[in-house]
Amino acid sequence: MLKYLTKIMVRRMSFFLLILMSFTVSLLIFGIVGQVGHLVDDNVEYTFAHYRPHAVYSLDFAFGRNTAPSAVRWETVKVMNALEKDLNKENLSAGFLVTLPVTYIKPLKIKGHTVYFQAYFFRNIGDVEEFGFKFNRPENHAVLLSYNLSGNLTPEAVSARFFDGNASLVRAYGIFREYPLNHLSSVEYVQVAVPLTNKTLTEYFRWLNQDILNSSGLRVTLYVASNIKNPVRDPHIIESLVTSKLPRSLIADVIGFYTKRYGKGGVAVDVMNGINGSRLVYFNGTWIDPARNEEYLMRVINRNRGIRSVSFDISLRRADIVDLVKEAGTQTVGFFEKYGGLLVVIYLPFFLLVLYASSTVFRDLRNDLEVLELRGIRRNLEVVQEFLIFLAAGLASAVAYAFLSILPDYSPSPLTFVGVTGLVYLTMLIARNGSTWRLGRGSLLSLTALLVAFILLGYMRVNGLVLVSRGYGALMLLFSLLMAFVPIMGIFVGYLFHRACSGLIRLFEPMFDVRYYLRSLAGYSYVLTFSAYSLGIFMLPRIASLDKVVNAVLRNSDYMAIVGYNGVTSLGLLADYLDKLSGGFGVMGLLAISLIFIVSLRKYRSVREYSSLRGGDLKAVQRSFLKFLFLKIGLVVVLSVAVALVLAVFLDAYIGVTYTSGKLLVENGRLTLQSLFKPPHVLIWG
Amino acid sequence: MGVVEFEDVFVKYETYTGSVLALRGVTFSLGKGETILVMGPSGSGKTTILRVILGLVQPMHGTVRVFGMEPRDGKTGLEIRRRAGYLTQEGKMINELTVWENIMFYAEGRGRRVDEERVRELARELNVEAVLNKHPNHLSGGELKRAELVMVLSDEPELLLLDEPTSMLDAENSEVVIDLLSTFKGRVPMIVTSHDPRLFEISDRVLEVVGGVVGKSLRETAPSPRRDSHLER
Repeated sequence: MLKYLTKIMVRRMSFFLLILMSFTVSLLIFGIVGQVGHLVDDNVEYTFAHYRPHAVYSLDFAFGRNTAPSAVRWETVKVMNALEKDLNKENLSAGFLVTLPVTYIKPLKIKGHTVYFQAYFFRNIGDVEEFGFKFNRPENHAVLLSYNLSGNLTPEAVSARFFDGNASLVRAYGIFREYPLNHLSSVEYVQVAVPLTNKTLTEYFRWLNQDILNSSGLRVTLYVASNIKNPVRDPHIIESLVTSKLPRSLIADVIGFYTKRYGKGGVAVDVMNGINGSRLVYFNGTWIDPARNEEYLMRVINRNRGIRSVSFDISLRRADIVDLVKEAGTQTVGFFEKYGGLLVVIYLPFFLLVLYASSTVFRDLRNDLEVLELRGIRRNLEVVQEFLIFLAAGLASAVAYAFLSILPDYSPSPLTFVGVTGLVYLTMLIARNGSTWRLGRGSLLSLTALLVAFILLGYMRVNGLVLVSRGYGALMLLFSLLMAFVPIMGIFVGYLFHRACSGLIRLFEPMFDVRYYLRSLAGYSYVLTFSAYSLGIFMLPRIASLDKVVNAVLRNSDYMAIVGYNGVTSLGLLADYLDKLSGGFGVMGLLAISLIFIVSLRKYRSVREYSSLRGGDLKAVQRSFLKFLFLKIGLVVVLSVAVALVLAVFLDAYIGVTYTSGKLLVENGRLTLQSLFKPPHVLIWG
Repeated sequence: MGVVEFEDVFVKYETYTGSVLALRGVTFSLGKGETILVMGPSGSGKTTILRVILGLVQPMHGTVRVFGMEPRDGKTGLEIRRRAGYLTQEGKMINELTVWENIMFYAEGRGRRVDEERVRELARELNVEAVLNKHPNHLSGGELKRAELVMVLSDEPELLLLDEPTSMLDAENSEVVIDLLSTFKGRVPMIVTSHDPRLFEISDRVLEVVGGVVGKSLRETAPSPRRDSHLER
């Protein structure tokens, strides 16, 4: 029995079409997922390799009064070396800068200007680079990091005055790398990095006035830039490294340094951890919580008179790498979220063919069952055959998955495989059960109205933000509805397109007999749609410039302002994807046209043979063939242009509602929109 | 007790324009070895009688018993269809299999052993031996009808239900079919629907169905001898 059932299945064209289309759809979706993943991975790798700093910690050390500059240098360099050794073990590179927070108490008076001078001390010039500053490398020279001076006052003049004419400056660039620079506004300032030597420290201390330092005790801030050497794509791993593992390691290093210096029982280290908000005192191998065990702590300190008490605060100032990797992941998800509906439209011809092949397979199956039922043959054969159909479609998806898995850069995840196979199965189930489903007039009109509203709002660059700022809160409901309907509208565009084509032809009914054209559309509907859609997608990048929009969006993006590089935003991914894919779609469109040509030619040959046998007019047959062929190709060309325009308008609307942005402010009790960004229109002439 | 028994059977079809009574109070019975010819105009309910017997259509009223079973549920219906041989009006075979494969599949599906020699013999008698390796969609209407008949007869059915067995056949092939069916007469109970008067020759009784009404309008006609009908023609 199974032998005959298999024979029945494998001899059906629709079965092969189903397998072919399941394979093609799966391959394309795996391809897009792989390609987007690959682009995002490139971005992550770039970020790890070139972006500095990944994370910055500040460690505040309290020194006693009357601490000599040489002692400060000696201790901080020792701490830096200890930290660096440990961070290197963690596969991190590190840079250190030391600064004194009291700097702003005493500005510099020079040529009638009041200038605040901030110096960051470095062990070696590589430390400054680890913070992301770029410059032509000076050896033992000062680096000008940032300044704001008016008139003809130069940073060099300020620096020379400060360091008694001894500092020559090289200018740093890469100003977006702003840590640990202080943000100063409406004052004149100079921020420089200088070598950490006894001389520079002495001169700095001299300027700041020993009295100021002594009055409150000297506190020094050590900034630690930690940069992860190997790309890690999981933001949770990085987050835990940055917020938990690294601070623990830094604290352990500092405690190790003090206990080594003063002996295990000779020092109590008061650690304020700003990252998790805890405060603990370390003494003689024990952690004491002063909030819970204050009495015990006092007893310990009193019992061990003469022990040194030191304190240091640790806090995480910035952890860009966490944001950047999260952002990269968000871009991948965002791509599919934002363009889900559009992708459905793009893949519509393929899904249509899956739908067509499946409905034919299931219709044939029903016919078989009718025949079998008449003969009293067991009905459970239906289960066997349906199982075979679903198994074959699943296997086609699996082959596509295996095919792409060979390519290391594009290999999709098993979860994607499950998702795509599920999508193919869903389409098949719709074909199996939904042959009687029809959209009613009411649903059709509602969906058309929603689509028109979406396109109009998008074209006018109106989104939820704009509506709120203009006080159209009530319309937010409609807008939310539109956004929720976006993926469905994607499918609907394709459905509407089918309806619109025949509607368009019917418009010419009063002028001439359109039945022939309607039959052409109906008889070759799937091949025509397939070729028209493919050619439409081929044309899309030629009538719509996504690069223009991408560039405008990137200029406006905060993310871009941080990273300084990016081919990767969800919109950029779409532009890349369409550029790369459009050629392939063009080839598929041409293949579909050649299929129409072959079918026409076969028909022509049989008609010519029949006519020649019966002495018919062969020239008339030839004319009829050419008319048939040109009509089909003409129809494909017109439909392709229509598809390209529909897609471009839909895409433009998508971009309008997604990328229009601004800042909502309350002014005089009213919401207003500030710095509104309106993305340009995608059409190359718009 | 007859092989098939109809008692006051009513069948209603739902259509787009409303419901139609296809059979109205049909009563008859088919005895062992008996052959009934059901005649009547198109749409009078001839095929419906066969479909009711096979359990493919459920009556809204009345009793039907086939082989002593009521073909009410799927299980008894399937059992009846497995034991009966049904020749369809339009010729139903699976196009993806050859005629030979259809016959093998038919027998295997019904859990029978195929007598290949018997199949070839029947095919020879019905002039379709040459098409056994062809696919049904490559056959003419007449060839398909005769190929289906080979399939139905080769399986040694306990009841033959033949829907228009001579339609789509030329005169010569119709004679061949009638000749062959006459060899089953008396051995296998048969219900034959047809407009073809030549089938009188093999029938024991003729039921005339008009507008789904049998019963009162049922006319029982004694068959005329087959040889005589040949002479008349």
